[in-house]
Amino acid sequence: MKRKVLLLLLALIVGLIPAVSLAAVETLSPQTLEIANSLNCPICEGESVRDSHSQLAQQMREVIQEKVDAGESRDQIMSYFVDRYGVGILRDPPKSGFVLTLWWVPVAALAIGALILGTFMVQKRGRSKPGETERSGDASDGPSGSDLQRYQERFLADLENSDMRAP
Amino acid sequence: MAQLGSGALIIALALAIYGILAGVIGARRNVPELVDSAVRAVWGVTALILVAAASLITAFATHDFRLVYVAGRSSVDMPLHYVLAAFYGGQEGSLLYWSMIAGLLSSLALLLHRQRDRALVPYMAATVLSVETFLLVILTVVASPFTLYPAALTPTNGVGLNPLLRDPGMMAHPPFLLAGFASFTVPFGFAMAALITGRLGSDWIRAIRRWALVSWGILGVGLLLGAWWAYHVLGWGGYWGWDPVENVALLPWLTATAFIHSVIVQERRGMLKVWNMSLVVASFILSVFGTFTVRSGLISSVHSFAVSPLGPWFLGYLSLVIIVAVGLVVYRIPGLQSDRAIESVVSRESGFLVNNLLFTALAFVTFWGTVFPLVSELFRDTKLTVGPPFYDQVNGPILLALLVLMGIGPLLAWRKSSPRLLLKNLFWPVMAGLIVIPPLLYFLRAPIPVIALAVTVFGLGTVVLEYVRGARVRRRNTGESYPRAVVMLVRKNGRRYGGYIVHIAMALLAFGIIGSHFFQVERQFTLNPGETATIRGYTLTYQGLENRMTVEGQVIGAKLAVAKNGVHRGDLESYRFFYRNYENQPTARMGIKSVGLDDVYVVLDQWDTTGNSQVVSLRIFINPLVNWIWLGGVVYVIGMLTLLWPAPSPARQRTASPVREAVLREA
Repeated sequence: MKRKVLLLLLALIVGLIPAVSLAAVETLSPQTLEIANSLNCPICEGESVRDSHSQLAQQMREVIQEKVDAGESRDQIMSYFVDRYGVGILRDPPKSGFVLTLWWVPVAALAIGALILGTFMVQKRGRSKPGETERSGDASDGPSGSDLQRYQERFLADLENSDMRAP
Repeated sequence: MAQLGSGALIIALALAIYGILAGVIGARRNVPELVDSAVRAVWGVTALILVAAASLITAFATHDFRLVYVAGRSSVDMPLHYVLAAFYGGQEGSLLYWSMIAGLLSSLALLLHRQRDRALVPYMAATVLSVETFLLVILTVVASPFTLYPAALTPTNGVGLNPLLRDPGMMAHPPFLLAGFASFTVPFGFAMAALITGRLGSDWIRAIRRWALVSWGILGVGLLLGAWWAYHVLGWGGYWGWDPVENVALLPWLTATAFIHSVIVQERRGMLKVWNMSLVVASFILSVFGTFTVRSGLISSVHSFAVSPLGPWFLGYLSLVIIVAVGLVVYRIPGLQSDRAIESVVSRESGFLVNNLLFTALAFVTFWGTVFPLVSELFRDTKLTVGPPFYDQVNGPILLALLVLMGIGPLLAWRKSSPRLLLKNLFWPVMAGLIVIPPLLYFLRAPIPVIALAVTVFGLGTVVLEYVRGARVRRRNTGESYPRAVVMLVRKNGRRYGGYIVHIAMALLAFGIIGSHFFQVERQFTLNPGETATIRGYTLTYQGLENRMTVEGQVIGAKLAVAKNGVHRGDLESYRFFYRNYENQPTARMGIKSVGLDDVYVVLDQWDTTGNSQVVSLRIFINPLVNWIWLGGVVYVIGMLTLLWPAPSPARQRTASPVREAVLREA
């Protein structure tokens, strides 16, 4: 009985394998594609070596594949192309020297923006009278009523204040 | 036709200059007749531009190749819809289209507001006409679409449209995007009028808000259509490549998004007047910058088919607008002081301020990355490229922060929120976000996208909570069923609940972007007919190559059958096109088959048609959740229309008051 089941299983498995295997050749390995996508096609506008239909890009893809097959590292391949075409070929410019400003200027801008925003909020708060603040506290902060009740009040207050209100 | 068109443009230019003078003098000397005349000048200029546009379209439709513009962009064998779309397929035509949309929307705005906002009208008209004057100078002097060939040189057939533009996307993306740019003329006109007159009360802010929403909506649709076009044509498996031209189109959308949030603070609390003015002005300036960057070829991009000598003109105009607008804002700063102050850091106001900080940061980063190659070339003499990795790493976290804020902001109360209550309100959305983490982590095994997905769920949770609570309130007061209560919520308070519809759209976009960004796989295969390629559970069987000639050129198509786990799920075909006159610029249409949450996306890379061989080289992508982006686009349009839908009439609105009184008595 056990043998019969095993044979049946084996037959099933064999049956699943097609008579002639027609698996495809993979011309460019995933690593090659990744490297090609990190390089700009030098003669195109805004396309990577991976995506460009130009002949140069096609040759470059083949060169990358050869180098990958020859066991060269990603960095070696990248510097090979940088030597020939300049840093402009890298889609992700190297994080060193002048290029660091690319990264730090946004960070600095965000920090300055946050600082301005912070001072604006604190300063404005200081200017208004404390008594007023207490009185104008939001209705939803009142101690009475259920959550829904509070929401309802806020909801209706929003309606009243929206631009749909009758003039 | 050419004489009619160019004649109309010259008269329009003269009329525009007259209108500016009439508006300004009429307002200064208080001559209502002159002011009316300026308004009519806007309508007249628009009508004349329409005449010019109609004559250009007629020239295309009748294949009048005496016109250089028509001969350079169309041919007799092109299908009629592309012949007509070629109208905006080059820079002269697209600028004519720009001025036409600006004119039409401004005319409509003046028609609607001419009675109510009387004081603003003359300067609004003058501002719009100054924009038109600039464009008309360009269209008559520098880049006329009506330039003729000398009689002897008139070609018998045109060259045809640039192949990249021969796609159904051409019918929708450029008209929306250009209209989005052009439409910022209207809020800019209102803003300038308010700044010049010093009438900075809240009456005009509603008009500006409404028209800024229109621009924001149109531009957003244009951007989404562009993403969709790029996805099925450009063949890099994506929909957004942080290409400079994409970036500059995104910039005004970002500042406009910031504005439609912060304007709420001004309406409710009388704050941020200077800031809101600056955002409106910035959106217009960035629209001009966007138009200019596409035309100038200043920055290398996939859109560089429209390079021209217009650069200096646009740069000059841009500088002029910046100087005048910034000068006016600075001059009016004393009059733009806040009526009130911020009372608490934990308040809706602060939420909107942080929102604005993040949106302007996004705009700044995008702008900085776009112009950095120029900066580098100027100061260091090195050619650099700032590609997607920079934007992913810098804008990614900002977008994530915006999603967090989308979850918190709506729960904040105006003026002052008690932290205790806020935490209580946050309970369910936070729980929703936390609950999805373990299963997602188990299936996806990558922490960063899981965090991003959880944050998106959190943001969506807040929107759902808002609808649920709003519907419960309505149900309690009116006894409506829940579905009806939700519909009525949106109808009665379209601004708030329509805004949340846009938030839902953003969450859907976020899911789509996270899914396709982090979980895309791609492989390259070389296949003979009958062979299969296997990629992440999908089996693609190559069925053969199709090679045919059409009137327009040659079409190559590879047919594949898609199966998942052995079950056939459909067929797809990936094409390459070689158009007549553009054989060296092949274009493509990707084979895309949506299976469940995934898109199977096939790029026809290389092929061999010698003899009987039909070997092809294909690049196959599996793109998860991309469909959610398109779904998000549809929801965005619904939300935008809800926001623009006229508010219920005041008479109907008053019925809300007895309910409120009843509620207060009950309390």
